[in-house]
Amino acid sequence: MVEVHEDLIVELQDATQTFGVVRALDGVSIKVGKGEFVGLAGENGAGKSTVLSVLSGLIRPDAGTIRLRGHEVPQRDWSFHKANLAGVFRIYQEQALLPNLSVYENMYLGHENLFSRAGTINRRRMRALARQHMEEFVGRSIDPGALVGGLSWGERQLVEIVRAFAIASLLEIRSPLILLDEPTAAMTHDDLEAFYSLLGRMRTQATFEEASFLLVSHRLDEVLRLSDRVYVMKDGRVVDEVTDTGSVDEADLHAAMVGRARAHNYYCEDRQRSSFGRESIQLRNLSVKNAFQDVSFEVHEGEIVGVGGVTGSGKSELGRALAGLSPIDSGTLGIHGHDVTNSSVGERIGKGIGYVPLDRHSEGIILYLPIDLNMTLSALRQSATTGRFILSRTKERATATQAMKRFAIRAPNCTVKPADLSGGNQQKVVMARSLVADSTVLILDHPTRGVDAGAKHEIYQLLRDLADRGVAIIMITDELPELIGLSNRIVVMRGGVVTQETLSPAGAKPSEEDIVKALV
Amino acid sequence: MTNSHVSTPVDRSSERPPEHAAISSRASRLPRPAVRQLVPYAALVALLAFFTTQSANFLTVTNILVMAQSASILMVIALGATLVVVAGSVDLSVGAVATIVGVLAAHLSQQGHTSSIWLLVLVGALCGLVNGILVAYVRLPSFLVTLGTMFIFGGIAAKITGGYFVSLNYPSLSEAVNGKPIGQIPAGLLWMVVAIAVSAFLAYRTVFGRRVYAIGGNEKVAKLAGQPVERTKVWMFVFSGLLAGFGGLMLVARAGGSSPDMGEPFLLTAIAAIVMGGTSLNGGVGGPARTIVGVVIIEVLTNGLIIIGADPYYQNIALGSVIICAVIVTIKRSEMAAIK
Repeated sequence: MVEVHEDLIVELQDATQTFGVVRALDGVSIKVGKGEFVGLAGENGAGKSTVLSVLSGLIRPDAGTIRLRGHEVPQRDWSFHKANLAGVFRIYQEQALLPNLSVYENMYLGHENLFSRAGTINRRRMRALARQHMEEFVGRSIDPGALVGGLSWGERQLVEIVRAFAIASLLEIRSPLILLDEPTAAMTHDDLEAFYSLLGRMRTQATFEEASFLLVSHRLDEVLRLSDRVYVMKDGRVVDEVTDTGSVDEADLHAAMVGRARAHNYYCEDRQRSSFGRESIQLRNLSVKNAFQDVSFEVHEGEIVGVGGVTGSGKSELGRALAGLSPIDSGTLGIHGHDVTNSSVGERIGKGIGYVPLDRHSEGIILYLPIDLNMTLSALRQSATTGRFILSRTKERATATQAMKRFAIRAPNCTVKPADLSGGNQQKVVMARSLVADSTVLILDHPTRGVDAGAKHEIYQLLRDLADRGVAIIMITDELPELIGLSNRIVVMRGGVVTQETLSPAGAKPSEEDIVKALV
Repeated sequence: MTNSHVSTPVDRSSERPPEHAAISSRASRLPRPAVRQLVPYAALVALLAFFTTQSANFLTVTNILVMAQSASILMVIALGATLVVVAGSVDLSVGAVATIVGVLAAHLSQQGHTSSIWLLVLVGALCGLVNGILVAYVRLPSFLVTLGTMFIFGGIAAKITGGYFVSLNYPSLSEAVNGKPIGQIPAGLLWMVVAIAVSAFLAYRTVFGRRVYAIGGNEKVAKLAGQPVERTKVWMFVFSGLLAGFGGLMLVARAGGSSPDMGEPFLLTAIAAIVMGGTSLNGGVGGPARTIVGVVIIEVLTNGLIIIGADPYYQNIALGSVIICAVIVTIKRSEMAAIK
């Protein structure tokens, strides 16, 4: 597996970068050989993305050198576009495609001059070339003339990566360096497989056998599976280098990242409850057109029910319907014996439903509203006012400070804006909002998405705490270990219907294979 | 930290450009946010210092009271529109609402129906209600709704007067706006203080105000948190209309009568004051306290240029330049909000 490459494509030496008082990079040296796939692992804030930013020309390090194919890069003259022209491409987690342009226009964005003669762009050639590359790598499923805005998230990620190769080919660069920045963070299970097989095809493709990849990802299994070599970063430094990725497992990698072994009890299975209180939420033959049909189950006080399924299984739609975001077409929904089938979002919150949405930034949190104001938003009258109409800042701050303590949210104080927090802390703020509103039924859609390994464990502990306090929890997730490890009971959905309901007691957890069978 | 990992933009409508690029390169060149927030105040101090050195008549009690009286109408109208802007919407009809109320007041006074003139502020609120319903429940963009109602209200006002100047014949309104109820304190200053108190209280100390900020920050989150987004929007347009209507009454009293385009200049000046103060047009940040600064800057500039005897034509040029300079600062801030 491991090849020693004499000729390096890129070599970063002793890079140091400070942002204010934070030392993001502290003498980092990294090498990537031609044709090599290198992983970068580390917790949030370890400096992984900063390394990519330095290599892709977005930031100039305070100190250190970059050598590209043996030549030192002149720092003053290094920019994102220059990096592109030199064959360094960065694939973003939050894609950098324009939704109002077509696939082929996006693919050659910024390089139109290579298609132009006397100021007019030869669109036909551009389109034909784009089609050729798309068919080569992803088949005919994506039409180069289609608008990017109409593609699914996974499809767009494929476009973005093919674009790097298309431009490299256009510029006749045989050894491009592709920087992958959390490319799969928002991907669902089926998108993932398509993505991995695309990477596989790219690495074996003759024209680009010298193409190299540098991957930053939270998914440790993926880092190990894809990489020939892995650098482990911590606090702005490279603390370890794994040269034999076949003989190392996720737990080892995690231990190196955090500087300690992953808690044996990652999902706090020892705290899993076996006895529950009364029935909290009851779904009876619930249907929403074009999303899911005839879903029935109930959750009791202190119970965690996991809902699994692939994209299109209707599991996220179920969560939205329970929260009151889409009207229920038939069936009934009961909370503590009250019928809330036709209730509004606000009425359901009043009855005890709390919802933590899938997309934190667009639906979960107000990035520029201070933490305390974010926390009290669902229960202004209970947590932040004296009387019905007048806000009490004292009361609000007290509520928020208490919630911050209970949720171990790391911020200097409760008036900090969530935009300055890490993903894990932001997610805790969203969860705290439901708790401030005294939710007794919590519906979480992918509660640990985009959250680093350490913060994940903290969220699992929080969920156990909540269960101990009698909160009924519905957890919708793609991550099988999480689904199995955390749940008392697992509901699997496929094509909008429940295909399996499995008990998942501590000590006798079902295997991933058991669940996968019902998933697909 | 560059490494704060953000998750899951599955919403296809909200594409974001590469954030690291935008922020890291810009953050290094611009002052820190806390410093930037002070820029409107710094601009104000600079203007005050400049005019004070240029004319001995500028920083006097008399002139300060003149400025207060002169700024009061703009202040009332701009404060009303501020909450709408904080919510991420815009109210382009404030000038037309002021006009329609002023015109009706003059018209009614000519017919002797003076007792109902104070109730005309409710016409302003009604205009706001129309805006609010169209924006919140018919779900039309506020820019287009209020652009349309701006023409409609303006047209109605012109129709009522037939385009002529109608003088106001209601001494008690004139006295209430132009008089000096307490010593040398002009009535305009008192009305202004009332408007500031009410709008600041609403914005900073009530559930309603909090909802407005939440909607401006992220409407989806506000909705998911169970907040009555539509109702809140209607009320904030009603408030904007109410204050614009009151501004109209002040305006007709100040001018001694009504003309069909009397409110027009106040629309863009009000928006300028709001944005200059630091309320982002993207919503979610800013508020009445910042609008006060914006209005004061505009008044100081206008008044100061007159006092030092500058060519009146330069007034607009200076005003425009100050607006752009002030906005450069606030736009950076709002861009951050849009990108991050």
